[in-house]
Amino acid sequence: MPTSDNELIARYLAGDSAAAGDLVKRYQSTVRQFLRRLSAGDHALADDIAQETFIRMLAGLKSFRGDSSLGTWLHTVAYRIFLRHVTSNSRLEFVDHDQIPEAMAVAHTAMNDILVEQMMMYLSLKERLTITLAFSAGMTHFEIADVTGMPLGTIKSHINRARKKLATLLDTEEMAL
Amino acid sequence: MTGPSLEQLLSYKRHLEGDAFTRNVLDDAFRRRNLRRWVLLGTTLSATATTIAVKPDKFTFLSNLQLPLRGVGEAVTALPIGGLMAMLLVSLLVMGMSKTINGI
Repeated sequence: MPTSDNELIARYLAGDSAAAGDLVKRYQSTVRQFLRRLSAGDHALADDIAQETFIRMLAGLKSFRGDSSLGTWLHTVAYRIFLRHVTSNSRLEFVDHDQIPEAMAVAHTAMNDILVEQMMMYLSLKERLTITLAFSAGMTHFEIADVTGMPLGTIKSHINRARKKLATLLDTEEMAL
Repeated sequence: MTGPSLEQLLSYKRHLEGDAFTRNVLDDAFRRRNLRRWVLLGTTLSATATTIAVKPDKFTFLSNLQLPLRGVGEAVTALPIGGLMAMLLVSLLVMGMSKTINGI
């Protein structure tokens, strides 16, 4: 039976450094991919911020009260660091919504990740954020509200706008609303 | 021909579990923890040194003020000004330290 997050946290706080490694291993894939989507495929930036996120996690576990899941908390921390970075560096790439090209061909499996990261450039940061949390991280709207601090109505409208843009990009019937 | 659904397309397919990434995080966390200890120690020492250097007992300007209301004047002169100055300096240093540690 896999060890629970709370058990790993308790072990880490008791001085077991292997538990810290297990926590990082458990969440690194999700957090790194979340940040890759937010940065529209800037893997170096995403990994830098993911590393910072886990360092903050380890420093802050003492005060982690468990009001939300560790995964939700990590997404919140990652998003805040990302936002601060983007605000101070303006490094994020966007493509104007008016410049949406003809439908992109959907390649198979391995190529899909790259395609999705490229498509994120056509979405605003909030659209990237909400649609990734909803469809990739599998969060409920309430959990997304926890991470982003946005009202539920705003979250829904961002997701809908993102879906429409993605549908235009992909031009597939299944994605149309 | 229909493509994958939005859910399928957006789902995380890769599994990014690099040992190097985990090692980097743990090493950096350890390094920063050590650095925080040194910053804390350095700030405590400099706060103490500053407090001693400014000689708080020499600060008497508040007690020399002529205030119109007698009660207020007495209350002000009764304040342990040296101690207050020292507290203020230490508070400023601790605030600076907290911000530094937060940034590490």
